[in-house]
Amino acid sequence: MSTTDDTARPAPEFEVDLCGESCPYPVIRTLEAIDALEPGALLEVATDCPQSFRNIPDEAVAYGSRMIGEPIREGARMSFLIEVGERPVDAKAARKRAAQRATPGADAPGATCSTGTQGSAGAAGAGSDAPIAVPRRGLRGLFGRRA
Amino acid sequence: MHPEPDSTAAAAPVATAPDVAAATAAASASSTHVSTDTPFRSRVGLPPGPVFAALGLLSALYFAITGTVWAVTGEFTRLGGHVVELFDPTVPQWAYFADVVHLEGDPLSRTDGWIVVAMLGGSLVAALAAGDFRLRVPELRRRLVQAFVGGIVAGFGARMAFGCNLAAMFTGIPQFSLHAWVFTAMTALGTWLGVRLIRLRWWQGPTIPRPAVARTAMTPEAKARRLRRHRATAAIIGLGLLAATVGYALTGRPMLAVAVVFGTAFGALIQRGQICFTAAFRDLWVTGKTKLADALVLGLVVATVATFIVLQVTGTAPLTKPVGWHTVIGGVLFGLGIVMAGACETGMMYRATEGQTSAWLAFIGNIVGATVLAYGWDHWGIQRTLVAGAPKIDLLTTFGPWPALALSLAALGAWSLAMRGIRTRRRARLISIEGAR
Repeated sequence: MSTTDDTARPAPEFEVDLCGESCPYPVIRTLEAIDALEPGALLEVATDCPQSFRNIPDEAVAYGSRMIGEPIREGARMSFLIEVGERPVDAKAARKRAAQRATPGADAPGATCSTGTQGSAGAAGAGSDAPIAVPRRGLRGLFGRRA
Repeated sequence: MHPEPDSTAAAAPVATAPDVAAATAAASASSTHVSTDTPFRSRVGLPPGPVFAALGLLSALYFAITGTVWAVTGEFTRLGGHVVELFDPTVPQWAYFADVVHLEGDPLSRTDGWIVVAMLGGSLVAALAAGDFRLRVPELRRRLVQAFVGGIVAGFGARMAFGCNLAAMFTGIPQFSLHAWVFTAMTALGTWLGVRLIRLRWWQGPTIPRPAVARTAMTPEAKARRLRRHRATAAIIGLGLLAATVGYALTGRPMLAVAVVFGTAFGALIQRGQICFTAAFRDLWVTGKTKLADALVLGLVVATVATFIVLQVTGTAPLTKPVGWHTVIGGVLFGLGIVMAGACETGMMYRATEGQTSAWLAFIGNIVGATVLAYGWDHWGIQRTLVAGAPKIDLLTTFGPWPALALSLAALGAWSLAMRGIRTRRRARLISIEGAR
């Protein structure tokens, strides 16, 4: 990985520093951060988990965002510049969203950009619109702590 | 798979919002993101498909030479036994160490011991040489606890089932032992349960993107110096492993020399390829990605065919383990534990040598869990209630060699087919993204 010419690389608006996080949280957190931002936002993700060097670009792209420039590598730390994009749609999820709109109050509050990523609570994998459903909020009421 | 068209990069410095938009549009047009969503391509290091195939071949060769399979949890149990032995000298008399895994000598006098040591050595050499080593302490301290507890669950489950993702999966399936198939299926279930657990907010902890802060990068000279230091260390460790190999070869202990060589190769390959069985299963449930699982199936195909040839040519009996409820429960616990810990037996070994402290705790947890199982084997009646009477089912003798091979390959094909839905959905998603651009 070559270090990028910094003058060509736009400055990020947001950053998530995932150094120290072990698998699979770099990928999960990257996608959650993407979820929390509006399309067009520039997000810099820094990680030092070698598996995420390989995974984050693929997952961000599969999630509808795009990579800007090349990752910057400093030793064991790699940072990616991601332009947040629209979440990809598939028919099954579109139907699910339509069903949810018919029943208001099924959407959890606070999930601003996550249109349709509610899916079924915690449902994993390829069936839903987003590969990562926003984690359930229920238990956060009990244990709610923000760093 | 979907290469972006190359064009000259925009070099305009960015100042205002419209400039940002223009620059990112130009920069993204020149972004060289080639999708590596296939087992045969990797943007860093080695692609997992060929690496898994190489591991399959090497493990069959290791079996041909030594008559044992590539395995680690048996040795973890011994390591734990050695530690407890310091406090209680009657440990070798536990039923587990009498019947299942013998506790004699020290790790460096056994091939299994050297496999573990050389794997750590080999992956450390690979990590240092590639500049992947960095002491990493998780910002969320709960990760350390999660890794430790997950390790205990995984180690316990693995030993209950007579093996982990190696002996009860990657090297168990090629031995045509039914217990490995059951274990694999149950591990898949366990990982699915594990994913449900780790995505709960209280387990995972919060993520908030913060406004960016200007960061000063390390100077190129400092980076180069550190890399040189790491590579020098890697060379020294490599020489040490070489010395051990030569030493054992010259002093009439060739099997230990073989263990050092193969262990080093295994270790280097798993680090460069990031061969993590946890990720292979977990990615299916978390992001719908089959890259590692496809690579695993490929590796199993190679290992199965190669081991079949070895078995047929040498005429040795395959290594079969009992299959029963202990396999089912052990498999589920193992799958759950490896997701909780974030890594499996191979994954946490190379992560430990990359400097990830959570992996060290997973390692210790695994040893603890394996030792607990060894204790509970007779003291808690585990063997009596779950394992006694369990049959050893060897597909080669049950069906005959060629039908057994056909059955195994068919089952691997069925596994690959079962993932087809996930695979095509992901591909469709990638294509729809391309199309929208």
